[in-house]
Amino acid sequence: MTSKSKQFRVTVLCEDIAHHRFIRSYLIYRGIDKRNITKFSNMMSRNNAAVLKHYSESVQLYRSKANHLNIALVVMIDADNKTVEERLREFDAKLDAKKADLNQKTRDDDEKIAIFVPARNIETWFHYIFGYTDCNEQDDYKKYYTNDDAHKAAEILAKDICPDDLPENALPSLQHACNELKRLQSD
Amino acid sequence: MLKRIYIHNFKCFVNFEAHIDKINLFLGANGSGKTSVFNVLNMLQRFISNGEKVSDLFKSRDLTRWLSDQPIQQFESDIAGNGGMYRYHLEIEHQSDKQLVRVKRESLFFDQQPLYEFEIETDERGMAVGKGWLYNDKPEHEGIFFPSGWTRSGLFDLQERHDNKKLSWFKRYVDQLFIVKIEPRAMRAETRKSQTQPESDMSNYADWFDYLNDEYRREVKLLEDELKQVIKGFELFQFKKSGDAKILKLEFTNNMIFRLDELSDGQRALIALYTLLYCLPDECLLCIDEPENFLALPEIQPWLDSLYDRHEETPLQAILISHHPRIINYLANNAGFWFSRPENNHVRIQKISDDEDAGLSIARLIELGWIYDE
Repeated sequence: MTSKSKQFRVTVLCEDIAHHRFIRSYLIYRGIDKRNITKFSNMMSRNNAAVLKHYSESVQLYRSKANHLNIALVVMIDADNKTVEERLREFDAKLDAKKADLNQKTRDDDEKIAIFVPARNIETWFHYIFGYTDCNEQDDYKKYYTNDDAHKAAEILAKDICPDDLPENALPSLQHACNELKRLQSD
Repeated sequence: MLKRIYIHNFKCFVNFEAHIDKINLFLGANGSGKTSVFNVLNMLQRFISNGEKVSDLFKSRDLTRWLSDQPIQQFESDIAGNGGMYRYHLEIEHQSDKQLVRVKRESLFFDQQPLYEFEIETDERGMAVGKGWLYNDKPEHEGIFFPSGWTRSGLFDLQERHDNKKLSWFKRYVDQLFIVKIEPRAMRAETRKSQTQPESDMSNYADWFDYLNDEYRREVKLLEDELKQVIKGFELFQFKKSGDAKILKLEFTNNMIFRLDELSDGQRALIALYTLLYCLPDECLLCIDEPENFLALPEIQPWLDSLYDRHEETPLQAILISHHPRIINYLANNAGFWFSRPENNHVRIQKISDDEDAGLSIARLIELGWIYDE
């Protein structure tokens, strides 16, 4: 899936510990060296506003180095009460408001910038990954999970679910994330 | 795993009760009681595991000043493990006029089944008599009289047997509390005798490493692999004989070799911090006061990541005390506990939460300047 080069470095911009542990564990299971996964900024582990606030800055940092370094940026934000598309438009608007208004792309196809938007939130993904495949993206399953579940969910996703294509009935936001993951492919 | 600790009539702790999670961050102003919780855990460990005298550990001057009419101190902890829940209870009586400090009551229960009970009673002559009862693993066991005194913990002398595995598990757990505030400049390179535990300042690092190097070879290898990533040029640890002592040295690339005490403060702190993550036994509690001291900013998050990695691999429980924004911002909302002493009164603890009704809110902490909402 992702580059296994020791020099491949990933910066993670996300909301909280559950996001961070999930992404970090998943990337490690997919062969990324753990020392090459760094957390963006000293932002507080709290909410989606901080992710949106720092997105433009993190993309600029990525673009300033991407020409000469093998790097990637992984962003995660819960959809919460919005749709995945609405969240993506929020990110687009942070980068280029005009393009966002015209519904144009703000990330080039070859840019290793992946945006994951769990809907309704990361716990919905946990619920699906732990076998409740009939769950939906509207209900909130937050109360069933803690930060400790992030690591195990990432392991199951990386080892048992992702090696094959996702089932057709998989959560749409997870399907979208799988497509986003392709952006991290090696050249 | 430590689930709960209760402290009463000790310094500024009055009916203090804390419910502890797997990873915890204690936050609060200086003097709000954070480190005193570590001190209590350390005193209980020395009382139970080292057999230190109650009068050497629990001083009358540590009684809560405004409870002068109450001579009894109480400590209690709930520990989940071994398939059930332990409750350890200790009451200490202070008679300041007689300069007497003694154990009034000590008990250990496992899922409400008694394993050990001690209590001071008054006999027919009106004399105080200490009576201890020891139980084995069978819930129906009625207990046998156990001649224990009131100067030390009755648990200290008890040896592991085939029929007291529940009690032995608890003693091992207490043996394996690691409560440290790393002082890199105190970390000596010389060792004459290995030690199974680090001192609270890690000054005996070489003694402890000597033990780890024999008993935890696999973990030491993992530690060396990690330190290769963390400390530029590091290759491996080695001991060199020097008279009747051994000197702990670190080999770097190009055959550069340095004694442990020749390294920088930051390098020594990193070595101590990663050793604590890689070489501790399973199911232990690690308490670190200000782990970020001496570290460069980019080293803090990788260590936090490794702490969580370790916690996910084995059931390591950790309590951190920190004033550092990197640690606070990462942990406060998920693992934070706020210590305060309103109007210099007794210590109060609140869970930090995004939910306004569930404890101290993040918004309030930002307002107080404790959290940096960039």
